[in-house]
Amino acid sequence: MRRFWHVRSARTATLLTASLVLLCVSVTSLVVCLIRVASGSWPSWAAGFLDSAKGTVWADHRVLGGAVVVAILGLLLLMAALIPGQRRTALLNWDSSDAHEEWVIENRGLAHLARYEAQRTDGVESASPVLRGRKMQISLSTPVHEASDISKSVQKNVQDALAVIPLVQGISVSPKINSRGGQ
Amino acid sequence: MWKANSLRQRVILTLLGLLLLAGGGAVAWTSWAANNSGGPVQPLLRDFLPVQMPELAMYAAAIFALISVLTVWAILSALPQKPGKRTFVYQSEAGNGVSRIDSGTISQAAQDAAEKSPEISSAEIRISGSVQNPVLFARYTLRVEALPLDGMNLIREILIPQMEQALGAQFAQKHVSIDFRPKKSGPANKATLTA
Repeated sequence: MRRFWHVRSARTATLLTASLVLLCVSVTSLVVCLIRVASGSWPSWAAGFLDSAKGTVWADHRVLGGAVVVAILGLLLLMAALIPGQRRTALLNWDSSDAHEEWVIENRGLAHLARYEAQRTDGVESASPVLRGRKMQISLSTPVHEASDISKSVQKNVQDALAVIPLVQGISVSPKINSRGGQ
Repeated sequence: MWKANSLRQRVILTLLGLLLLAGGGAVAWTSWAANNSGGPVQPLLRDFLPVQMPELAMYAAAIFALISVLTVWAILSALPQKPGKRTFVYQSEAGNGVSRIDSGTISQAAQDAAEKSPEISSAEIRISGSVQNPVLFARYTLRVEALPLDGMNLIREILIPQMEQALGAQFAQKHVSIDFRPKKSGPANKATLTA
């Protein structure tokens, strides 16, 4: 079964940017060449560049620099194409390739659920969960000075909420108190 | 629901990257070699290009036109797309009549039904495939304040079977994604103390 949701991130922005730049260059060059074919002379705005290019030698540092920049851009595009990228979903137990069923839950959604559960905990002012792989770190803000109990409560509440969801791989939760108020 | 053709994007980027790397590398190598040769007469760029050819502009125009067309194709084919809708044709049992229904109509009805339940905030559904082998693509967004498993079981045990019942066939493939919508903390949810 070919998966629809549980896939690695695409490269739409990189490809669109590279293609649009290439399109601008090729269309501009095409227009210049068509003007040359139609009128018999290069357009004035391109003639200056062409005249300066006529006297350029291979050893010119601008040629070397430009070529290196183009090669580096090529390398970056190659890396963007070959680096796998992250998945933004987690598989559910109901997922089965044999039954042709794909069941996933979005990592962003799990973070929203964790934030809601954390913020419901008594003493928590705000919570910012970050899910990386199977580890969820929750930064907590609380006005309470002694916050170890709050941290434990948040850990338990969020872990319990996530445990209800039939995930293929469990998620470990680690709260972190990053700001304290009070007297 | 939008999905990019990731493989095609990566293949196009690989080709483009290799082309730029090879072209830039070749020019850089030649320029570097010319720099190190240190001869009294430096070779000009134009010596290696057919600048005296009378048809140069025409050939160059053809090459740039081809590059432009290929680039436009690369952009259009790599843009994210939604799974296509289908028109399902049902034969009557007596064999003397047919009825047609657009899969978008069933999807819309399923979305409306899902969004009426208290657990589900929004739903986006597409049905593709054929009458005998329909394929489901669905994204359900649940409310965080509802019990997560209730919403998920509702989708699995009621909403999807209802769609299958309406279609008259079980889904050959199901692609279901579940999300949670954050609870909005508007002014109505804030406690206000007044004197």
